[in-house]
Amino acid sequence: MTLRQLLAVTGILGCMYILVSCATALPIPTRVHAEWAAQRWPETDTTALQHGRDLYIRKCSGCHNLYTPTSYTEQEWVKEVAAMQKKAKITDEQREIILRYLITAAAVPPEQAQLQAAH
Amino acid sequence: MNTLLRFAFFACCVALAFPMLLRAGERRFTYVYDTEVQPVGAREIEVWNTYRTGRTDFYRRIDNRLELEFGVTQGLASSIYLNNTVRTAQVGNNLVSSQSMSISSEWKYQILNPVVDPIGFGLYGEITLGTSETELEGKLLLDKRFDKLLVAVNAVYEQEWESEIEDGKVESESETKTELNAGIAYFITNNFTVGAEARIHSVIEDGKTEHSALFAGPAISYSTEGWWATLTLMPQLASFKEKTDGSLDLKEYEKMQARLIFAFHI
Repeated sequence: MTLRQLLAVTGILGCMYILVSCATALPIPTRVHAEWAAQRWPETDTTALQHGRDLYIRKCSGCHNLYTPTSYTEQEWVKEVAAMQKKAKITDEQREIILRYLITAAAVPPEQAQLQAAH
Repeated sequence: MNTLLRFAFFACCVALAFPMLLRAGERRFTYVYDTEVQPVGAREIEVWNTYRTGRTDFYRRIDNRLELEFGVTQGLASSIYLNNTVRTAQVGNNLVSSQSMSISSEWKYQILNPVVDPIGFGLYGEITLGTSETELEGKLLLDKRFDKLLVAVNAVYEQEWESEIEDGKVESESETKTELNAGIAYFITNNFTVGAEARIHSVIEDGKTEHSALFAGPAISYSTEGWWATLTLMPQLASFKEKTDGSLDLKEYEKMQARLIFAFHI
């Protein structure tokens, strides 16, 4: 196999891997996320977390590239979202919903969320 | 060159006159594009410097690009560039220097977001007008975020028309260039990445690949609230067509390229 063929095969396999691995870097809330969140905030379910994800995308992507939930610790997220609240016109209630989603998504490993959600 | 300096001076004045309003998208690669675009209303000045050296005969070249990039609508960003190229090459027993300038307009549209969607997907178009050449460039952009990892792949198609003198007459020659670019970056912190990028560059004339070579090297980037910088070293690793020095083609391509982009938000 020539170097060119080797590169072509590597490239194709790489692209296929990228396309096939469908998990997003911003996890879509599953039952596993909801169970984890409910331990801290009893009224939180999958719908509430999904609402937090939607709000995070809508309110934050207008001003900067979105960060993955694991980019910051819980304390840092609390500080960052509070700092951006006024500029992004986020209400106190919306801030809490966004934070719950980000903290939960960062806490639950993606493999665990996907595997357990599939069962 | 004066125009470039005037533009740079104007850009600095604008940057100093306005406080930073919005945080914009940093680039983690200098050759490979990811799909992130400037948010609506965000503006950024990017200063590109590419240094190329190492051909069979003496050859050094510096490409400078001054870019003003701005978000147009959600997912759509545009840029204008002033391009300046200075090169010195050995011709017989002499070193001959030449300079060329051109302007470019770039449009980038993000269709899928690499953080929100399973894969990021975008389209890129650029037109360049020079005094003796015109270029049209299109790119398909793919990228994906895996937590701390960013992977990006680009397919590039470029058509170039250049005016040349042949038998005393001005004629237009066209050339096609294709590129397959890929990059990977690891986020050590939210501000600092280390990674690598690779590109296969090919020149096609009359439907035949005349030149083709692989370049690859390390890339590092650092960003803060107000500015970011990314540096790539890109040595030629192999030629797939003509070989003039071991496995390399040092007639058409250089042994080493290095690119530094420094950008600040305005």
